[in-house]
Amino acid sequence: MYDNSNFQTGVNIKDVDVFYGKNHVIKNINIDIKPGEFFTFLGPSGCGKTTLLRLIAGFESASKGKVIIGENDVTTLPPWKRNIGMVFQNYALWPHMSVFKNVAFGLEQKKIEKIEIFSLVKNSLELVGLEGFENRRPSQLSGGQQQRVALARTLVVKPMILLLDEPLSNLDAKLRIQMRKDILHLQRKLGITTIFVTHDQEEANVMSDRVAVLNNGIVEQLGRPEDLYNNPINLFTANFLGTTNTLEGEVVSNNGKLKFISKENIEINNIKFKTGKCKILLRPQNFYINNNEIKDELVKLKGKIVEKEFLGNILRYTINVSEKKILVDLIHEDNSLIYKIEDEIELSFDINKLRFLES
Amino acid sequence: MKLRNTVSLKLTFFLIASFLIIFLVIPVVSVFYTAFIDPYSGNFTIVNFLDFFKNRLFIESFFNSFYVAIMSVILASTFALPLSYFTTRFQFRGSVLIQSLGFIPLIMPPFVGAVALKLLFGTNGTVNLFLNKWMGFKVPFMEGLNGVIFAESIHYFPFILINLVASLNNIDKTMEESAQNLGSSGLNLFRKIVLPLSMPGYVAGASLVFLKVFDDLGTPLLLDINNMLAPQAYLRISAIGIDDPMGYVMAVILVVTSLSAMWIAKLALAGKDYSMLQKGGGGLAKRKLNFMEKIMAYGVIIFILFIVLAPHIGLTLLSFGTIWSFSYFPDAYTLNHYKEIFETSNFIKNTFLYCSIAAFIDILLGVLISYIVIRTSIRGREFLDYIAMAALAIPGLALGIGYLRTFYQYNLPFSNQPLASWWFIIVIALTIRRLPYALRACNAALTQISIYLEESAEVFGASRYIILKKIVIPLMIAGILAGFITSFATAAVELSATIMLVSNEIDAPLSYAIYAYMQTAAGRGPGAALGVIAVVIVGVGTYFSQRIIERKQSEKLINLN
Repeated sequence: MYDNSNFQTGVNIKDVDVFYGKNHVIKNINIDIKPGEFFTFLGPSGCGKTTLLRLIAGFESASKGKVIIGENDVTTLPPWKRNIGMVFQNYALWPHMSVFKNVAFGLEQKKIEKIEIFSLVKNSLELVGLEGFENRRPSQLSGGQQQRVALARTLVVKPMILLLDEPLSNLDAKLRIQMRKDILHLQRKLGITTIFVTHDQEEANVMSDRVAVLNNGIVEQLGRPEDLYNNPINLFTANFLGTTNTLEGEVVSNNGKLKFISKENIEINNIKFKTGKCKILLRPQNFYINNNEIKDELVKLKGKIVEKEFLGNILRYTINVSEKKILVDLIHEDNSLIYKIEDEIELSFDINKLRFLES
Repeated sequence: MKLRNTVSLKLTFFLIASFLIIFLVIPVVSVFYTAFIDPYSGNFTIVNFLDFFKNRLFIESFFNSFYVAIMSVILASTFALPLSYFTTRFQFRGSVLIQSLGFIPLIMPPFVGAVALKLLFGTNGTVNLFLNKWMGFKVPFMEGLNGVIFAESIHYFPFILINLVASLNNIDKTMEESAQNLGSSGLNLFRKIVLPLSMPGYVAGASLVFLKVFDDLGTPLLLDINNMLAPQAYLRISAIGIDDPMGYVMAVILVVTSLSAMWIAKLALAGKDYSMLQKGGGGLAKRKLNFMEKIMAYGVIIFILFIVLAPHIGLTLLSFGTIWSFSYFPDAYTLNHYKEIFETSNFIKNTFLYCSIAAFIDILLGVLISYIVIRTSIRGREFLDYIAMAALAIPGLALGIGYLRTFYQYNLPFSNQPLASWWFIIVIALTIRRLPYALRACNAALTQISIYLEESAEVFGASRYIILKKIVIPLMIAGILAGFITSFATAAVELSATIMLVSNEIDAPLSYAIYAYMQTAAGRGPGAALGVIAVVIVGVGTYFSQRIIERKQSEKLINLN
C-alpha cells in the first residue's frame, strides 16, 4: 500500500536561529538529514531539541535561516501546508472522536473519497496492529494503543517526513522497549525519513542512523551513535553518552617524550598528544584491577577502593588514586573476586584507550 | 482505608440526616403531596394539575417562562461567546481584565439590575431618548417579556462565560497542533476541534442559565410581568393563601422542570469529560491580531461590556440621583438615599446576621458531610451527599412554599407565633439553599488531601477527632473559607425563598428590603442605595473567594450555581 518513493525526502536546516523573546534558544544550527534516514535529536531538557522539531513542523518560526524539505524551502509555510507528519509526546488524540475518526481526519482534509478513506484507515490501523479498534474512543485505549493510533493517524496521510516528539516517554519501561522496536521496524519497512527527539541516550543509540547531540541551542556533536560514544569531541558528549572519567591536567615534554600530569599529580608517561593543557577521557570499563600482565601499553596506578555498587551484570568501584576518584566497571560473574572497601589495589589500563580533549 | 464506625460518628450522621430531612425533604415532599390532594375531600387526585392545564393564564405563564428561559440562554450566549473566544484565542492586552469585568453582573441580584435597566433601556430611558432624538425611533428593549429576557441574560451570562473560558483553557495546545499538522486550519479547525471540545463547558453553563431564569421570581415581579410561572405561584400563595393547591402545582412544575433541565444536561455531557486525555493542558495557542482585527475585537468587547455593565451604572446613578424620569440622566445628585437607609433600617444588620449564621452552618455541614462521604464506610452516606446537592435543583420559591406549608401549623414554644414566621426559619432556608456551594468546596478540598496524610497521623496514635482538627481541617481551610464566602455572598442576595418567609418588616433582610423599596417610585433611590451596598458585599466576598481559589490553582470547570 505504501509507495516508498514518496517518503524519500531529506531535510536541510540552514543557519537557523530561534528566539523566545530575548532568549536565544537555537543558535545558528546547520543539520542535513538524508532521505530515508532515522535521525535523532538528543539532549537534556531545555537544549532546544523539541523547538527544532517544532520548527520543522512549522509550529515555531526562525528569526534567521531556512528549513528546506526535499527541494522546497518551507520556512514561511504554515504547518497545514507542509505535509509533514508529527506524533506528539502526549499523542494528542482528539477525545471527542472515535479511533476511526481520528485516523480519517487527515484524509478528510485532503478531500479523499469516503470508500478510499475507509480502506486506507483500515490498512493503517493494521500496520500498527490495531485492526478492529475503529469504534473505540481514545479514553478506552491504553497508553501504548493511543501511541499506535497517533502513529497510524500520522502515517495514513503519507507525510514526506515523520517527526516523533519523545513518543516513548509516557510508556512504562517494558512497553517502551517493545515500542521502540516496533517504531524502528515500521520506519525500516516504509523507508520514511524520520526525526526523533529524546533525552534518553539508550533510545538514541538503539534506533538512530545518526544522532545530533544538542545542548544550550547548539549542536555539540553529530554522527553515528557508536562514533559519538567512542570518539566524543567534547566533555558534554562524553558525559551525556555514558559514564566517563575525566582527568584535567597538562602535557609536558620530558627527555623528548611526552608526559601527562593531572591536577592531582597522577602521571602518565609516553603519551601521543601535544604539549599544553588538556583533558583525558577514559570509560569505566577500560580499567583492570590487579592485572599482573606486563605489557608496554599497560599503564599502572596505585589506588584504594572507597565505594562499591553492585549493578547486577557489573560491579562499579570508586577508586581513590592520588585523591582523584575514578569509576571502574568490572563484569560480574558468579565466581568473580569481589574487592572490599579500603582494599589497596593496582589499577591498570591500555594507553591506546585514552581520548584527549584540548582545553 | 475507610474509618471504623464509632458511636459518635453514627450520631453525627443521624443528626445531619435529620436536619436535611426536616428542612429539605419534608417541605419539598409536602409541596408535592399538597399538589396531588383534593383540598376538600383530602383524597389523592390529579384534578389540580388538570385545572392548571385548563386555565389559559397558567398555560400562557408556563410557555412564557419557557420562552424567556430559552431566549435568555440564546442572548446570554451571544454575550459570552465573543468574550470567551477573543480572550482565550487571541493575544491582546486586558484579557484578564475583560474576563473579570464579564463576571461582575453575577454579583448583583437580577431584580435590582432590572430597575436600573428600565431607566436606561426602557421606553423613556436614556438609550431610547437618544435613539429617538437622533434616529427617530425607539427599540422596545424592556417591553413585556423582552425586559425579563434582557435583565436575566445580562445577569446570568457569566455562567456561560466562566464555564466556556475554563473549557477553552483546558483544551491542550496539541489538540489544535495535531489538526494543523494534518492539514486543517481556520474555521475548519474551529468547527471540527475547538468547538466540540469546548461543548461540555458550554452545555454546563447554558443549562444553569436556563434553570436559574426559569425559577427566578424577583425580576418578573419588579418588571410587573405576572404572566410567568414563578410570579403566578407567588401571587397565588400570597393572595389566596397557603391552602390553595394551585400554588403547589406550580411549584411542582418548577421543580420538575429544573430537575429535567439538569438531567438533560447531564445526559448531554455523559462521557464527555475530555480533561483526562489532555495531559499537557495550557490552553489554545494565542494568535496575534493585526491592527484592523484588533480594532474590531475591541469594538465588539467594549460594546458587550457596556451592555452587561449597564445595570451597575444605572443603579449607581439612581442611588445618588434626586429625580430621574423622562431624562437622559438624573436631574441632580444627593447623598440622602444612603443617609435614609442607614438611619431607618436594620436590613443590613439582618443580612449580616442571617447570612453569617447560614454560611457558618453550611461549612460545618459541608466539612462533616464530605468527611463522612469520602472517609467513612457508614451505610447510606451517599444519601447525605445526594440530598444536600439536590437543594440545587429546588427553586427557592418551592422551598419557601414548602416551609410555609410544613411549619405554619407549629408554634414557637411559649408563644403563639407560628414557626414559619420566626426569623430563624429564614436563616435555615438560606442554609439549605446555599449548602451545595459549601459542600462542593469542601468535597473538592478533601479529595485533594491524600489519605496517607491522615494515616501517617494515625500511626502516631492520634484519634479521629485530633486528626480532623490538626490535619484535615487545616489542609482544607482554603476550601472551607471559599465555601463560606460563596455561601455568604450568594445568600445576601437571595430573594425567592425569603420573600415567602418574611412576615415582619423588622425581620427582613437586604434583598427583601430592596424589593419592597423598589415597588414605589419614591423608594427607588433608597432601594438603589441598598442595591449598591448588596453589590459591594457580594463583590468583596467574590473577590476574596476568588483569591483563595486562585491560590489553590483549581483549573476545573466552575459551577457557581
